[in-house]
Amino acid sequence: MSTENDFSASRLIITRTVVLSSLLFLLWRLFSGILPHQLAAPAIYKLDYDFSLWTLKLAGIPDLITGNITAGIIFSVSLFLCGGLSFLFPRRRLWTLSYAILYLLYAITFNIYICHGTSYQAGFAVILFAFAAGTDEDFSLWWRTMRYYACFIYGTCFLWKIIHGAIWDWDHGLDCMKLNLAEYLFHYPHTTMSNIYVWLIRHPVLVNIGDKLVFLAEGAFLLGFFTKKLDWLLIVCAVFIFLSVYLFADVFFLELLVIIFPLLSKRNWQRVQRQA
Amino acid sequence: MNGRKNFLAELRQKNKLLFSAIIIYLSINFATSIWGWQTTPFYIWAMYSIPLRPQQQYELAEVYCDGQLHTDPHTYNDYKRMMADYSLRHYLVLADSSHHIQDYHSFKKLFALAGGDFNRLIYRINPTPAAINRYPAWLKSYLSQQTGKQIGSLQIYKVTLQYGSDGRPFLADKKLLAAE
Repeated sequence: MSTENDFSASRLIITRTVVLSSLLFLLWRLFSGILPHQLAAPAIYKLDYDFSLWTLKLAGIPDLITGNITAGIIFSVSLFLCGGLSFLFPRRRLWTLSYAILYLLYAITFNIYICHGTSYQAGFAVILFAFAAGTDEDFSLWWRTMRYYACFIYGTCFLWKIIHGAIWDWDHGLDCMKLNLAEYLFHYPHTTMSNIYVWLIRHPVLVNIGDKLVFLAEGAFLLGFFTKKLDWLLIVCAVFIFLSVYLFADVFFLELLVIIFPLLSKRNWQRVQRQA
Repeated sequence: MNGRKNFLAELRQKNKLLFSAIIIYLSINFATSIWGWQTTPFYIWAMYSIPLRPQQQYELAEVYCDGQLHTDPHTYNDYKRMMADYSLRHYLVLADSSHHIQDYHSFKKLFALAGGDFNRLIYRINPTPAAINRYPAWLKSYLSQQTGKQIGSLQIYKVTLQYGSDGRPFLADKKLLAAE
């Protein structure tokens, strides 16, 4: 393993940074009322064709942790407890693996009852498993795998847009914006943002160009499979995609920016470690 | 390319379990995503990857709690809005009288080959009509708990919007779907 690929010396700072970020988002979710014990036994759900959703639902786990208040509270407390212990003892596999599994269960349960395959937790739900690696050498391998996972998320998004045809649909940006912002424009017609949106809808060329720029930003992640030298560009692209969907599609994918962490180099992490 | 090749070769040599998991995941994900199915968690590979048909009308749900419209304009409050917002969209679909439970045609064939009874399974992977009818009561209870205020009455409306030539949406239709 070349030295630039050896993250073993930075294992503690990487684990603590990512785990702490995930805990902060969980706290935000707690205060927003969307942890399992706060869902009040949802009446409807949606599974589509997702095997993980089917398996978990048929096993009865989501019904138990959202329908039984005691089980739900035990689950939520365990989630925070394992996360906290992972932060304090980053090399203790018992805590890091337990936390990763509980987080994954929560993310899948959440998608079942929100009735939509959301991508908010796509980063943490997979990346947390890197910290359950047995040895430091294994951790380096896992962490490098997560870098490819980050590239895979947006890189394949771009590929599907070519294969399924969105990239060839010129008005995709305009239609997407009208669909996502109809409710906001209807309820808040006189805000500054509403006036900007309406101006953009009346000048769709800009919206459609912006839409294609987002596609290209997703496509840039394919470069990550070939070189690490452009990782700074991928970080810029991830932030650009987040801001674009935040401003023009009314979606808040801040949690997914965790994919930036595996794109940081060993030198970046060493610098963070020195300052910590 | 060289970097990836080296990485996968190194991974195969040093961690066969992780290597196998990645290959299996990628194979299932790619094969099913080509059909537009989402069979693995966390990314709707088909989301916004297909051309969007220009719509004349846009349907959405409005919720009134004790006569007040329940809404939040701030995108950064997504976590507070999302449980009600996303589930309401699905409720609109489920509440439509022309809606039929999802047709898992290919899975039915697979189950039949394995000797399984898919019809018994269908309501374990789809909400029952009774569960759909219970949704407004759940929403009232959930929003009461989330906002910390006991909601006395709740109405769900199906609203149809249409964009005018000035680029602004206007109300084309509004129908009461449920009251609790």
